[in-house]
Amino acid sequence: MNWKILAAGLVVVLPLVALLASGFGKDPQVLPSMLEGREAPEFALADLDGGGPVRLSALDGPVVLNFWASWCQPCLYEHPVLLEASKRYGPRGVHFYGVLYGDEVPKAKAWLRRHGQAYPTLDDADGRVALDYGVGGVPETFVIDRDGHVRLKIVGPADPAALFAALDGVL
Amino acid sequence: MIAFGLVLVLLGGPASAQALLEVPPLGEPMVGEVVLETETSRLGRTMRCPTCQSQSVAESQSPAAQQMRARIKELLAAGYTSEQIEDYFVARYGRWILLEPPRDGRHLLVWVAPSVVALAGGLWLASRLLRRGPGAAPPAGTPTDTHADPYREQVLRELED
Repeated sequence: MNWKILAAGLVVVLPLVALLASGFGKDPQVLPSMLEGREAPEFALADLDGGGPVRLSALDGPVVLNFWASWCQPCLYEHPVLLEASKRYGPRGVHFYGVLYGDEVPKAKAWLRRHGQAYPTLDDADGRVALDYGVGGVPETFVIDRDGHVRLKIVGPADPAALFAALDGVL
Repeated sequence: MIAFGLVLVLLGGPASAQALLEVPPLGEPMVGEVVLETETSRLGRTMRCPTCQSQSVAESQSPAAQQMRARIKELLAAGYTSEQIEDYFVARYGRWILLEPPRDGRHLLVWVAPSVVALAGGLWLASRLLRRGPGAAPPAGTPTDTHADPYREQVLRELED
C-alpha cells in the first residue's frame, strides 16, 4: 500500500517538479525579441529641434537606435557607454540616434545639455516607432546592420562589451 | 495558422512599420466614441502592458500602455478586426503580449490540467465514498460519541468548577 502511494506520488510530483524547474529557470520579465535577425521597421522622425525627418532606409551604414527618456534613471547610467560608443564607432560609419520615449522635448533637451550630447535624438511623439520596435520600456538599444536587419537588442542599460562586440560585428 | 502567416507577412515586407496598414482591414470601421472606448478597453484587458507586465493595457497608466490604447483605438476606427489587432501586437511583442496563454502545444496543459485534476479527484472521492457505503462504520479514530471526547469532558468539568 505504501509503495503504491509512493509510486502515485512520484508520478504526480516528478512531472510537476520538472515543469516548475523549467519555468523557474526563466526570467518572466524578459520580453521575447521579435526583431533580432529581422528587418528593422522603417521610420521617419524629426529631431528634437524639428529638423529632418530622418529615415532609416535613407541611412547608409549600420545604425544604433537608443530609446530613452529624461525621467529614466538607467538611461542616465548607460549614457556614458553610448557617448563612448559614438566616439569610437561614429567616425567608422555607424549612425547613432536616440529616440525619445514617453517624454517632453524641453525636458529631453535640458537633460542632453546637462549630460552631454554626441548624436541627435528623434522625437517619437505618438510612440509609434517604439511600438513597431516592440519597446517595453526604456532604455532599449538596437544595433541595425547595413542591410537594415536588427543584429542586437539590448534591454536595459547597454552593456559596453556586448554593444562594442555587436558594432565590431556589423562593421 | 492564418495569424501566423499574417505575422510573417508583417515582418517580411521591406516597410514592415507600415505593413499592417497595407493589409486591408477585414471589418467595418468602428464609429462612435462610446463604442470605440468600450471595444478598446475590452481588447486592452486581453493584453499585457509591456512596462508594468502584471497589469493589462486597459488598467495601466504607463506611457507604453497609453500608446497601445491609442493605437488599438486608431486601428478599430480604421476597421481592423480584434484578431488583426492582436496579430499586429503579437508581431511586435510576441505571444507574450497576450495575457491568456495560447490554446495549443504544451500551453494546452494549463487549460486542460485543472479540469483533468478536478475530474480525477472527484472520481477518486466518489469511488471511496461508494465503497464505504452509506451504512458502513466510520474509519477508526473518528470519535463516535462526542461525550466520549476527553477534552470536551475536561472543559465541561472546568466550567462546572
